[in-house]
Amino acid sequence: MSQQEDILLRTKILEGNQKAFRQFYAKYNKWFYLTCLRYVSSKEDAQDLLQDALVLMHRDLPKYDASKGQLKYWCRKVVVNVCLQYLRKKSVLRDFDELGETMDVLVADEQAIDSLSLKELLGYINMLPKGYRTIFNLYVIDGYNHREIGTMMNISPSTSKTQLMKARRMLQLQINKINNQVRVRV
Amino acid sequence: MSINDNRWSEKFDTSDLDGEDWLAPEPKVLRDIEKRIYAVPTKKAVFGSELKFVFIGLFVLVFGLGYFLFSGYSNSEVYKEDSSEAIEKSTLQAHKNYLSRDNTTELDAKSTNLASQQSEVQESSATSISQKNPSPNINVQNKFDQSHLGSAAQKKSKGPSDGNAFKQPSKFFSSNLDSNESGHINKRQGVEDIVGLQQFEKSITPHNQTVEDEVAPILRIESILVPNYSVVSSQRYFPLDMTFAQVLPYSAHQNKKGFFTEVARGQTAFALNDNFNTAVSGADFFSRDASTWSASLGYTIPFDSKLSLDLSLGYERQEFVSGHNATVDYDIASEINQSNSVALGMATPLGFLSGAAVINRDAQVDQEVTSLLVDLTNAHRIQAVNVAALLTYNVVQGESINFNVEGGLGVKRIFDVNNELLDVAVNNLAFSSQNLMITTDQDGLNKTLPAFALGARVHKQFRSIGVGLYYRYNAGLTPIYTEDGRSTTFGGSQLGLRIQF
Repeated sequence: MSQQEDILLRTKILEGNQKAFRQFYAKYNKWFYLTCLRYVSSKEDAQDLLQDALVLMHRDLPKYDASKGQLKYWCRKVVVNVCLQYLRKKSVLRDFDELGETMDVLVADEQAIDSLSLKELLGYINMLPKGYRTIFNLYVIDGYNHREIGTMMNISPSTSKTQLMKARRMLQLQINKINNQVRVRV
Repeated sequence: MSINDNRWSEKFDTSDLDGEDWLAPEPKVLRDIEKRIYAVPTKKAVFGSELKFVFIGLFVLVFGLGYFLFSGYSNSEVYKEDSSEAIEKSTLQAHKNYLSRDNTTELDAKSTNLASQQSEVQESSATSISQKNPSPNINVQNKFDQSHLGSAAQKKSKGPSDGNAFKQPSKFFSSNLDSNESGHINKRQGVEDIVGLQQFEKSITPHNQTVEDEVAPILRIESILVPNYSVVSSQRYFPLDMTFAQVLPYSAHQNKKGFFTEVARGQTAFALNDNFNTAVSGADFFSRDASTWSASLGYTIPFDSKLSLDLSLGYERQEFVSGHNATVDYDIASEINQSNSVALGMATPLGFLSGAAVINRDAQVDQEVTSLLVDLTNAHRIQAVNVAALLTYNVVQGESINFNVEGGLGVKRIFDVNNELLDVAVNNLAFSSQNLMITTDQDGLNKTLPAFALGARVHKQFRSIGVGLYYRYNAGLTPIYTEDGRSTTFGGSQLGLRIQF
């Protein structure tokens, strides 16, 4: 249903209907903004990127092929690409810090993620160094595989895997720490 | 993908975020998007990072235009010869032509008629002269600037129109002959008088006559009114087949002595040496080109018709932004009201400075020490006075537009450096920053800087005021910042307007 609505909106937008564009923006602006905030933690930068992404989306809307997936995911792909382009410009995609070996022994508390709000989870993602954060976002949330990530970030798939593993452990460390503190207090 | 990955994915995959008001972008975002999508496209500002290309393009355009306009100068061949030799040759030739064609002992009635009409012009400043010539009648309707003729006459003749009035230009002509034995006419007023006289003669002469023909009547009159007048001598000073611009050492369009003022805008780039680059590159250091504005007052000293020296005193202001990231530890143990003041050491192209900021913590964060990545942005302003000496060479000289190249040296004295900590962006939504300040400005700044400049200028003369447009590149001969093996040099270009008085 949502996809059909989106296709209808797309048709109207392509006809130059500004009202339809506003409807589309009202429907997805928070989601796209959230995507930007996952890659760049600064609100100002995220809003600038959102702006660029929507202008690009509008330009490339005729290229969208409905047989290849839902419009909203195509749009999110545009947002992710704009964010990656920005990060590439700022050279942060080379920023891979080494983590300590102590993290290897950590065990994740899987239930902890469910108990956290979206804002808190975003806060944890933003605590990651930019390189880890980007790979985590691309693989875990946006659904790219390591080969695609390697191409996008100009690194090998194995580097992507290693970095993802470290990112996951760093996140688990943070979440477990908070979770344990909460338990102790309770 | 692990179970945890799925949990993350599901959390962020929902586009239904109605309850999440903190995720709403500011209203201006939509406004700006719609402006970009639906507004009529406007011309992009050119004074950005593309400025240097605009300058280069303009330079090529100006140079090309200058070349196109002046490369086909009608008498350019005369320039190729040695000037004095050319003058002698042409004088002799003109004299021969004249003698072979005319009888100098006879006063031409038509010339007399001309003389009387010229007198009338001087007396009454009439704007219409009816002249009967060997050629068809020509009506001259103020085709020349009568002030030339008028000034020649009025300065020396206050009497009635009895023929003496017409003697005045002749007198002037002969007085020039007497006082310029070396073969040069260098009195400006005299030049203008002669120009006026010649223009007058030209204006009443049919176009199919040669230059010699045009001047012949006046020479005949001269030979009568001034008994000892020698045609050969006069022509040595004023060859008949050359223009005034070729004969005179200083025409109205060439470099002339006087004051000028300039205003310019441009960009200055700062180049860090390898040591400095290595020291800051790990922190995503960036520095944007400085926007430069300058104004100056100067004096031109001409050496000859082509070469002159410009001495100037000017004011210059440069503004730019730089920044990098840094790690700051937030320690809850030392905070007051969920805030900590943190000291910041910051790199700039001009050296290192210190600042401070207050970091605020959201209540939800209760980790003892949090390592925060912060993006620091600083704004800088430099004010300086410049003293410069530029040699200017006139490459192409047209009737009203000149094209000059220039080069020289100067000294820049920085009298003010101002830094402002613009932004401390914390890459963690649970923290924010405020009360940004600079505590210590840069050390190791060289405040007196020798510099060189190279440029090109197009100059157009409007009567007594000249207007020029110039492009100038300048760079420091010594670094603006030096400390512990690190240094920064500067260089930039400017596009400016020049008014010469």
